Amino acid sequence: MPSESARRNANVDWERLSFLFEATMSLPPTHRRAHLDALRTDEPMLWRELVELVDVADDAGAFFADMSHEIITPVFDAALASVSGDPDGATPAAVQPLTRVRHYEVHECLGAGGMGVVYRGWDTRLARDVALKFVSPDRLIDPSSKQRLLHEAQAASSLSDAHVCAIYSIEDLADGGVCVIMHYCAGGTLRDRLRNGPLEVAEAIRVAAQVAAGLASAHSGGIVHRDIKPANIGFDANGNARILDFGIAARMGTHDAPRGSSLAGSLPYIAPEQLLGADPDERADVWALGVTLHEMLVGRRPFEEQLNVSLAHQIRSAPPAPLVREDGVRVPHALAELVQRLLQKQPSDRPNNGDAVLALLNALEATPAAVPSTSTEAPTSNTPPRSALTRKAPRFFARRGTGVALLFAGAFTMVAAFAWSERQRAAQTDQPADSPLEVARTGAPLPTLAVLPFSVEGSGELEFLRNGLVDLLTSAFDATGLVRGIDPNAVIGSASVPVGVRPDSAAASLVAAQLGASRFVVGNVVGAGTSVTIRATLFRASGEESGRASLVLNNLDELTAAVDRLVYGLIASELRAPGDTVAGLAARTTSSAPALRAYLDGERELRDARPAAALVHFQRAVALDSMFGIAWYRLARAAKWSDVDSLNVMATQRAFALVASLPFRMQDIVRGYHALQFGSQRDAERILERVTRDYPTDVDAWMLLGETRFHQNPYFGRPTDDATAAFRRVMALDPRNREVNVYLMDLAARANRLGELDTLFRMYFSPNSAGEQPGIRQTYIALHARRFDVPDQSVAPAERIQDAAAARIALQRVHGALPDLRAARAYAQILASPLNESAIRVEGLLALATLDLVNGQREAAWSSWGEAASLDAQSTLRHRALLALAPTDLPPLPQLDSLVRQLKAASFVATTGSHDLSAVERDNLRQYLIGVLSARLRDDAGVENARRAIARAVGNSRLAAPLDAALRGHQGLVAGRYEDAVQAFASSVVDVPVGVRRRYPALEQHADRLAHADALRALQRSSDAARWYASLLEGPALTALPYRAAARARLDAVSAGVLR
Amino acid sequence: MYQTDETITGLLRDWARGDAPAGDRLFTIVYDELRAIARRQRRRWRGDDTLDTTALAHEVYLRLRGSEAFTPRDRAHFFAVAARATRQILSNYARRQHATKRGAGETPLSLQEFDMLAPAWSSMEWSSIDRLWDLEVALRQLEAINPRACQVVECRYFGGLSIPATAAALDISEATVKRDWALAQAWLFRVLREHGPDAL
Repeated sequence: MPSESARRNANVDWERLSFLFEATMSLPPTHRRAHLDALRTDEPMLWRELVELVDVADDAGAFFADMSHEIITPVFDAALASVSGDPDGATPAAVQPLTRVRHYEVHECLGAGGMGVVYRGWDTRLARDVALKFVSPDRLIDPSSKQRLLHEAQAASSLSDAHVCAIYSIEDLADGGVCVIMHYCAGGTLRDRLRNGPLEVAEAIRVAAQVAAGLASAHSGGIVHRDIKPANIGFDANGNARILDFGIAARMGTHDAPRGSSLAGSLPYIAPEQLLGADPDERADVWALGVTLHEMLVGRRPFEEQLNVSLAHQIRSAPPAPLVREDGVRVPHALAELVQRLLQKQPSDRPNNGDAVLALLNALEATPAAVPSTSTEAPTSNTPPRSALTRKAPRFFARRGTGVALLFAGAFTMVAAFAWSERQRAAQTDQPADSPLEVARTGAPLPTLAVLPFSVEGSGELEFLRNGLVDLLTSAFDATGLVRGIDPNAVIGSASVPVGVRPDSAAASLVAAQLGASRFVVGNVVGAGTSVTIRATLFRASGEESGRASLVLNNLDELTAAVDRLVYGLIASELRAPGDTVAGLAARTTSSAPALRAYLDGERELRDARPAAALVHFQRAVALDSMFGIAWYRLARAAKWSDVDSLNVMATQRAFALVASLPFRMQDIVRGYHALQFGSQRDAERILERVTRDYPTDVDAWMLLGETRFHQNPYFGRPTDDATAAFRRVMALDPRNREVNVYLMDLAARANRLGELDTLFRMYFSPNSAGEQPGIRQTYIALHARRFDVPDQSVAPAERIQDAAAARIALQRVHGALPDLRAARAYAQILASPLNESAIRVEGLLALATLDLVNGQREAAWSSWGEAASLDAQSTLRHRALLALAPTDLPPLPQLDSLVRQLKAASFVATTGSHDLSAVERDNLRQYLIGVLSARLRDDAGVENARRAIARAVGNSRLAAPLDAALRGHQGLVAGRYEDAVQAFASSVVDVPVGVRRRYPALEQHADRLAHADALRALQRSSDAARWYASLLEGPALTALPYRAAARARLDAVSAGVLR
Repeated sequence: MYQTDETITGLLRDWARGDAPAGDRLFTIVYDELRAIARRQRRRWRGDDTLDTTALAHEVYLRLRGSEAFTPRDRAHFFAVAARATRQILSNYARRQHATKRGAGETPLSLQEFDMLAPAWSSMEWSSIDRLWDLEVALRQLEAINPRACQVVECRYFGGLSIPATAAALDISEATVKRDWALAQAWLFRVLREHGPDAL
């Protein structure tokens, strides 16, 4: 019985495992351990698998027996009872298209259009190509749909413009459907062309002008198209643009327009007035042309869905994205202005119709062509570039003082500069420009590959493989979508002598050159008895060997599977990315070539710090192959980076569910990531450290390790800077990774390593970084500028933070320095604006309250609290409790009392979104707040009560044990029992994902850490105390603000003691 | 339903020789027949004990066999196909149920829809459907690692075939069946436990 071809790499040697397993299980349970220890070889992976499986073996049998009885049979019953129609997943009988309609021959399918499927056809009478749109009968069941179709035909046929797709005729079909015969656009659609990136500026203008001409003709005929978009713009054989699909056009001034159609058209191209309910007129077409023109120039649309802000809202109110091209070419000012006019929100501010647009475009052509500017400003030498923003930089360096600091900074800049120039080099002369990853990265045409005839030894019946493998392998290579195979007939026809595994490279290269192939495959087949051995080698045209694979078949039935394995084996070596990343592993875990392609596209976008674009690609990859575990994982990463948290959560869980099918290394990485999002941070760190030990070149693992430490170290009393080493590793291994820059910048800013910050800043911001993570760019420019005391005016208006999304991110990244706090206030005010939704407003108001309180402005704080409380009473209550614990401002006792009373009366409900606490945990948190406030009030009974309430939940809540310990610690401190306090605090750190801490800032445990440090100081354990004081100076600044002054003061005191 | 000159045995043997479309046609026929017979049987047996899936497969076999000559080997292969069909029925049902319950399918939704999903780990119950669905997901992973082991599980678990019958159906030795079955159970159980309700 043939088995389905196993295309995934079997990362576990099933056969061996099964034998070992059987042998172990045949022993009585007491003897198994000894047997396993004896088996421990130099294959730790296999051994670990074996141990785990033996551990669960006994339970497994019972589990399945139960399941069969309790579940399978009853569910089968239910399944049959419910099923009535076609089984899911069964392919509906494919609609067999006719091969002929009247005197038109039907050829290949071109795609699906507005109301039907489009094929290429041939007019046998007039001897020309045509396009045939088939509308199936079930689409025309009601008269209105046929009516609509006729509309399309009438509308289009009344126009005879060179830039409108002519309709020749409409034929009724025997099955009740209809076939529309149209002009054939041999050059495909604009959407196809845009898949490869934006057009040249001149070309974009040309196309836009032609579309405008077509529109002019339609508008003067009283017809509005209403669905102008790249998919509806085709190119004929001469490369001229033609407007397609007048399917929803309306004749203005008549009432036979299709009903309910004012919101027809595609959302990204819909004009703002349509969203407000107006009927579209010519100016809506003008708008859509504007969107299209923008897309042609930039490769992206002017309005894209962003976090918390829907596309519709963007179209209605947001300004369009700037016209910035990736290749550095500047869009001429006049053209940019024109696009802006087309995209005016008010229709009356736009050009009136196609004619007006055409006139404007023609006026443009008279101006000189755009002068391309160079995109890089960095020198290629090894010295770090001088920052344009930091005229004062040298002074800062001098001011730094200690030689150690300078040396360190210098060493760093050397590394950074190296990475920088590596990146420049990498961007220019790559990895061979036609390696699959590069191709996926740049969208260049596929490299060509020729499979040469194999040499055959052994039985005569294998002779067919000589040329047979050429056919089989070529089509398998084509199916990967990563190379283009040279036609086997061409190969077989030209190569006269079969070359063996070790070809005479001159001869082989010659053959490849003749065929125009950039790569070729040679190999041999050896038959011995019933088994067949196939060996193959992949060469570049230069003769350099690039990959090898071989396998043994036991019978020819396995040939198809063998061919696939061979191809993947040969191509796998080409898929190695720098630093041995995830991409190389991906190739071996999916059998869907389009899914792999989509995945590689996503990786390309991630590398270039465009997570939103990456998201789209990864989603396509998992849509094509839902078991593509690695793609799910990368989807989660891209979602996290784009701040779409719910998607991150979901994709992480999917990846985790599929963890068993991943290669071992990925398993640990995904487990680590999952733990990071949902579980114990200590576990996550442990897992990731293990991975980096076993695989020191794994970029992803180092990245995750860095992130874990970055976010969690302060809470565990460790310096955040520990993360720097891991991040630097990432940068060294993969110079093109930009995500790591963001972290390194943050760390450099915190540690005041200004030279490093400057260098990183230059590396991160190229002048053409469009479409990046929203707000991050402005954040860093703003912070960077303030750090060097550059006055506000010098920060360009476009760069100043104005919208809530960017302000939120900026607020999270605020550090403690004074200029930052001023900026933080500005950000908070943006968030607090009444125009935002309430959750965001609350965030802003609470931040303002913190800032005010720290500055001693109690009145202002109360006012912010009051407003926040009206929007979200509970968050406000928690916030007030939190700040009441801070050493900054000791509120009078009656107030603390009132807070305790309010907390006792309250009950915390669930908040929306992911990363929430369970009901029990929320209650623990409430009790904890009561407890700590009681300690402050010297109310020991109150603390005891709180502790008792919490302790009941131990085992049922992540918070119970640590929070109970924390309260014990506070009790000890208050009573002067410092030893007890320290012991209690040692186990008081809450171990939850960073998302949870952000949602409930009390879990950052500032009060606990401060108390812990105080207790340590009382015991003269100065260095430990210093560690914990220092931890309060790290982490998100805003929440720690009320503690920082005290922490700094006490840290100084302790350090002074140490030095003495 | 059949193409003019096709027989079940013909399809079986073509499939054994590597003709994948023949296998697909065969599967579709068996699947349809299985459902039809099961529904009929169920109407008859209302109130009795639940269906025995093995007995069902036998009835399908008898019906489809007609007057063709089945070798023991053909018969064995047939039951392997029936086992797979049974699994398919169950997994389709579980998938639909799972989807309506969670509001999500195997294919990712738009960004807005994602925002409305509750995290799976907060769900209270791990009902039969969920378990079955998780088993299906685990089985597919197993299939990717070692297809033969997955087929053994299908035959033994979904088809209710004995060890010798499974060996005959898959053209492997009884020893191999035993080994695969034992390891597969442990492997699947481990996967299921890692993602079950008491997991992280």
